[in-house]
Amino acid sequence: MQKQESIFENIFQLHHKRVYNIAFAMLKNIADAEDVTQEVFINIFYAIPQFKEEAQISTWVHRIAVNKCLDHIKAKKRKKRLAFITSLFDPETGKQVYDAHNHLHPGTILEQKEAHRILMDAIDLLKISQKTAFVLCQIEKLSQKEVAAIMEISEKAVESLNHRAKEKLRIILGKFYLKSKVNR
Amino acid sequence: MKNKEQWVNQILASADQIDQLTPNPFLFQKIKHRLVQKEIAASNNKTALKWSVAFILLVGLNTAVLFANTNKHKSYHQSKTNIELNNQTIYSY
Repeated sequence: MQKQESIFENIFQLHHKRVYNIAFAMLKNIADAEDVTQEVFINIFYAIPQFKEEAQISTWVHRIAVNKCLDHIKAKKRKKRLAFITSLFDPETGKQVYDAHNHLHPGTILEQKEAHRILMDAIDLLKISQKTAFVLCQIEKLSQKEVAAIMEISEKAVESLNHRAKEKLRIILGKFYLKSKVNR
Repeated sequence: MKNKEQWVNQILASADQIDQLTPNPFLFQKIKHRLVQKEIAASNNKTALKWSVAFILLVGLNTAVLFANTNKHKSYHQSKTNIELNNQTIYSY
């Protein structure tokens, strides 16, 4: 048990920043990212005894993180489908009950905030596999080999997903540009 | 048209300028707390399971004993009436 705890602490120290950043890039919300990061490491704690050293530990951790993010997105979509129209504020106290989605990455400087917000909105419209590949390759700067191992697909498939994601982003951003022109 | 392309490229390039975020410094403590809570919940579940098994066993054993006793009484009464009947038949001869 103590050995498991020390291994867990080591894994946490080495990987928690990357896991948190992947979660934030996928979910675009600090509270959700923190919640998913916690869930990822709880999963890791219980899965340490079953870990096979055939896979690299970083790949294993990142795969759990990506899968947890995808589960979270699916659960949110399900909730949205079942949701009733409800007030953002508590009728009795008047306090805000639901928090608005936070698209702004706290790591961006002021001038880039707007550009980053637009990019995140566009990424959100991608297919889930394209979104995962784009976030891991372009935002988290992981190599194609690592991304292929995390997503359990071939490197060629990652390359093609990335290519398609960029093409789709160009189309989406083009529409955004035209919309902003019309609104001005 | 060139403006549009420039704008799109600028937006796409913004992905390269994102700094790594630093998570909450108490994240590890929070995870440890959740792990402890999970352990407590699991041990509570185990205790509840043990109690319910014990209760079911108690009720089961009691029912079995009660059933066995009733059968015993029944067979005792039946054998008694049989003997009485036999005696009666003997007397009637």
